[in-house]
Amino acid sequence: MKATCFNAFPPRRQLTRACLAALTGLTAAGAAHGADGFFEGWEASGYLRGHISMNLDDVYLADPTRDGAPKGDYQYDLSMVRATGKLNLFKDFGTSQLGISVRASHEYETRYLKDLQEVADQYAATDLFSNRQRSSVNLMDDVYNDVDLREFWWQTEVRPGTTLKLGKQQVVWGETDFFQSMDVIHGYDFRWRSFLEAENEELRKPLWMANLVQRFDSVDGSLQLIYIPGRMNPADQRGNSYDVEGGRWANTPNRGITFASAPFGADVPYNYDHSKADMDDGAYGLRWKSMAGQWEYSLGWFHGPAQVPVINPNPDNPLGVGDSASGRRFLGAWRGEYNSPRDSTVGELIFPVIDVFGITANRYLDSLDAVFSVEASYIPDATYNVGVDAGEAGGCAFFPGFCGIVERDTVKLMLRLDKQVDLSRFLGTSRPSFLSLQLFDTWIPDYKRSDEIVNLAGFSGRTKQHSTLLTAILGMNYHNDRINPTLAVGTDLSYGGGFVIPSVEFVYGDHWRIKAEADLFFNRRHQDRALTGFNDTNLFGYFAGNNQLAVRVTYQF
Amino acid sequence: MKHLLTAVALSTALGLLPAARAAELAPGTVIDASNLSQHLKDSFENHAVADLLTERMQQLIREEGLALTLKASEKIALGEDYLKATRDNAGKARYNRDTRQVEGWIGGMPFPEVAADDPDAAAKLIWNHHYAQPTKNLQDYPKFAYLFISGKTGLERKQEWAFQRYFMKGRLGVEPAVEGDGSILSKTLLYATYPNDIRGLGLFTVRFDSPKLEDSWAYVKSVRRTRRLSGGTWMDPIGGTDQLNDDIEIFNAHPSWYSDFKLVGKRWVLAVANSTTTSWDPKASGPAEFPIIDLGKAPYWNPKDGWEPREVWVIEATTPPEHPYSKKVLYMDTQFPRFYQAEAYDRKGDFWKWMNYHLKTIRTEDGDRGIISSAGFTIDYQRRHGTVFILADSARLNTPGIKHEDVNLGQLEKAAR
Repeated sequence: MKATCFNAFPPRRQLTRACLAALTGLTAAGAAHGADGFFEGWEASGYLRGHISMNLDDVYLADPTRDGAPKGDYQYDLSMVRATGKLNLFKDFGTSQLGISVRASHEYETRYLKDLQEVADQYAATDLFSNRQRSSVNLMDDVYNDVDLREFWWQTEVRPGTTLKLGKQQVVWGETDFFQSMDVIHGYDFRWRSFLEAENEELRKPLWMANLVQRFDSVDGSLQLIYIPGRMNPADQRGNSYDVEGGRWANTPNRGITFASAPFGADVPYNYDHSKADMDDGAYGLRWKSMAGQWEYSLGWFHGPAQVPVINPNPDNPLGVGDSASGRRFLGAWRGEYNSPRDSTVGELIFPVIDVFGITANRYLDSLDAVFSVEASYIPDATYNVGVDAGEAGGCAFFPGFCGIVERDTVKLMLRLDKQVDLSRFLGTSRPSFLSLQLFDTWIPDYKRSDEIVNLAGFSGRTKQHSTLLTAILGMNYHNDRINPTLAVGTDLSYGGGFVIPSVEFVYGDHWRIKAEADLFFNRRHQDRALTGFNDTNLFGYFAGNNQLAVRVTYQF
Repeated sequence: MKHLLTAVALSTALGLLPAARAAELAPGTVIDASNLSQHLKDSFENHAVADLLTERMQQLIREEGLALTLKASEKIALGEDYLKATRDNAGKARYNRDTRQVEGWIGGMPFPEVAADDPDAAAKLIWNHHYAQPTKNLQDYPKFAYLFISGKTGLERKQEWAFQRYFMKGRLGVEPAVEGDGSILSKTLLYATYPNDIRGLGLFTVRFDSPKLEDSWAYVKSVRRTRRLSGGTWMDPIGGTDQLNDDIEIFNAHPSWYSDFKLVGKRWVLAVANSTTTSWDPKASGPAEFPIIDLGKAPYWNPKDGWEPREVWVIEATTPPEHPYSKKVLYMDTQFPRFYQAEAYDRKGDFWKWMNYHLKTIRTEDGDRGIISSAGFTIDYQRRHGTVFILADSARLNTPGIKHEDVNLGQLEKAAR
C-alpha cells in the first residue's frame, strides 16, 4: 500500500504536511467562494475497470527445485485479473481550482501468479547468508494491490499570465511516444503492466511538486519552472519501476526472481541514499516553449534522478569479484560509494542524479500534409553498466554489467511524422485514419566497444553506438468511432526483434468501453534459462514469452 | 377488377366534391407527411407553402418524418456594434477576383449590398460570412453537446464540450479593431468535458487571415501532452461525428479553399431563425433532456422547433477535388451572413447530408445583441446516422475579462485538469 492523505501508512510527516497545506489552500479557496458552500459544486468522474490477460506462450518460469528447469506449462493461463476504481473530484472556485484523484486496484491471484510467488519464495530461501524462507516481496500485496492518491493539487492564477499549481500532479515534457527522451520528470510503474497501456497517465508516478508557468504573450511563449522536493516524495515514486520483483513482467528469464532477495544471496536491493543518487535530494527543471515561424519548439532542462536505474556493484561481493575474463576491469562501487549490506548483497539498484537538456520542435508540412516532430535530449555523463561476460564465461561478478558503472555523454533523438491517411476506400473506415511513424535513436558519441556497455545489467547484450527503434501506429475508426481498431508495430533496428499489437476498442453508449488486444513480441535472441546461458539478449529478448491476449472492460462515469 | 372498380368509383365521387381551396395557415400548424400534399397549396404569411419548402425539405417531410411547426416570423435585431461597423466601413473592402481574396476589410460585413447580378455575388456572400459573423468578438460556450444518433436505434451516446472563439480582427465596439500583428483572424479553444474517456481532449486552433491552413494542436489528456495537428484536416470529420470540420455552423473554411461559388438565387424558405424550443433541459432525463429533438420517434433525429419564413440566398459551393463532398448547397439569410440549412452531395452527385441550424438572438454580456445557434443537425442519410449539436443556456457572447492571451494552448492543459 502506498501512503496517501487518506491512509498515511506508514506515517510520513512530510506527506502529512503537504496534505495539510493543500487542504489549507482548499479551505481558503472555499471560503472565498463561500456562496455555494464548500461541499457543493464538485464535479465527479472516474471509472470502474476490469483487466484480464492471458498468456499466449508457455511462459518460462524457473523451478528452483529442478535446477531451473521450466516449472510448468502456463500457456493460456490467466496472468492478470485486475479490478480498478478511480474517482476524480474537481471544483472550480473561480480564481483557483482543486483537483483530487484516487485510484484503488485489486487483483485476483491466479494460479500463474501463485507459482511466481512460490518460485520467488523458494529462490529467496536459497540464500547463503541467512535463514530466510520467503521473498522480501509479496507480489499481491506489494506490487499489484494498490491504493494511491494519484493527484491532489490546487491551481491558481497568481496574477494575469502566471499560474501556480501546487500538490501531487503530473507534468509531461517532450513529444516522444513509447520511449522517454525529455519526458523525464516522472517515472513510470511498469510492474503491473508494461509499457502497453494506452493511457500512459495510468502508469506514470505522480509527484508532489510546485509548478509555475509564466506566459510571455509579447513573444508568444511560456516559461515553466518546477521544483520537486525530494523528502516530500517517497523514494520509490521516483524513477521507473521495472519488474525486478519477479512478477509477470519480469524480464525473461527472471520471472520468479526477486532482485532484493535473489537466489543464493545474490541480492540486489534498491539504495535510495547513495550520495550521487539520493532520493532525498530535490529535483528541478525549467522549460521554455514558444513559436518560431512555422515551428513550435521547446527548450528544457531537468536535474533529478535518472528514469532507468543502474546496478552499483558491491566491491566486497561475498560471491566474489574480479576483472572479467574479457579483460574488462572491475570498476568497483560507483564514485566509491556502496551503502547496502556488503556481506549479503552483490549490488544495489540506484537512480543516479543526472541533467537532461532537451529541445523539441514540430511543424506542419504543407507538401506532405503531415506534421513533423523532432526531439533531442542530451545527457552529460549518463550512467551505464559495463561487462559483457558473465557466469561461466567469467564476468566480473557473475552477472553481466556487474563490472561497474561508466559515465558517457548520451544523445537521444526522435523523429516523427504524423499523417491522416484516407483508407476508407480500402478498409471501409468511416474517416481518415491516423498514422504515426517514429524513429528513436540513442547515440553515445564517445562510444568505445571496449567499454563493454550492456543494454541492461543482467544481460550480455552489448550496446552499440546507435540503438535505433522504428515504430508505427495506425488508428482506424468505424461506425462513427464506435469500433476503433489500432495497429501498433515496432522493430529494433539495432538488435533485432519487435512487437505487433493489434487492438480494437468498442464504444457502447456513454459508459461502457471494451478493449481487446494481442501483445505479440518477436526477438532475435533471448535467454532460455535463469542464471545460466547468458547471451546477447537485448530489448525484445527481455519480453520473450510475454505474448498475451488482454481485455479491458471499463464502466466510466 | 373489384379493386379497379372501387378506385374508379372513389375517383368519381371525389371529383364531384368541391375543389379544395388554398388556405392561409395559422401559426402552430404542423406540416408533416400526412398533410404535406394538402398544405403545398396553402400559404403562410402570404408565401405559398410550396415555395417555402425546398425540394429536399419536401422529401424529408414525405420520407423521413420531418414535421415543421409554423411560427409567426419575427424581425431579427442585429447588434448595434455590428451594424455600425458595417456602415462605417462600407465600400472599403474589395473582392480581388484574381486572388479570390478580400482586401481592405476592417470590420462589419465587407459587402453589405450584394447585387444578384454581380458575377462575384456568391463569393462576396461567403466572405461576408467568413469575416463578419454577427456573433461579436467572443463566442464563449462553456457547455454544448454532441448527440450521436442512429436512425434505427436512436441516441447512441452523448459528448459534452466547451468552446471559445476569440476574434482578433474586425473587433466590434472596441479599439483597436485589430489585436496582434493582423495575421490572425481568430483563435479557438474546443475541449471535451464528458464522458470520462475523452474528458480533457481538446483542440486549440489559430485561424489566419490568409489562405494559409490553420495551426492546430490537440491536448491528449490520457498522455498529458499536446500534439500538433495537420492543417489539412479541415475537411475531415470531427471525431466520430457526422460533421466535417468544414461543417461547423454549416461553413467553416477559408473561402479560397473552395474551388468555386455560384449564386443560385434568392428565395424564401421555412427556417428556424428565432428558436423558441428549449434545446437542453439538464433537469430532465431520457429524450426529455433535449426537447429540441424528437428522440422518441424514429428516425430519432428530427428537430422540433418553430419554423418561420425567411428570405435566403442560395449558394452552390464547389469543393476542391480531395474533399469528401462534391458540392454544398447553402441557404444564407439575406439580412445577415448566417446559414440556416445546407445540402451536401457525394462525389457521385448523390444527396448525402442535410444540415439544419436553429438560430437565436441573445443579449451579449456587454448589453448588445448577437446571434447563436441553439442547435445544429447534421444528418447523414446514406449511413442513416446523425450528429446533433446542442447548445446549453450558459452560452455567452463577449464575456468580460477574457483576452486573446487567455485563449491559448496552455488553457487546454488547465482545462484538462
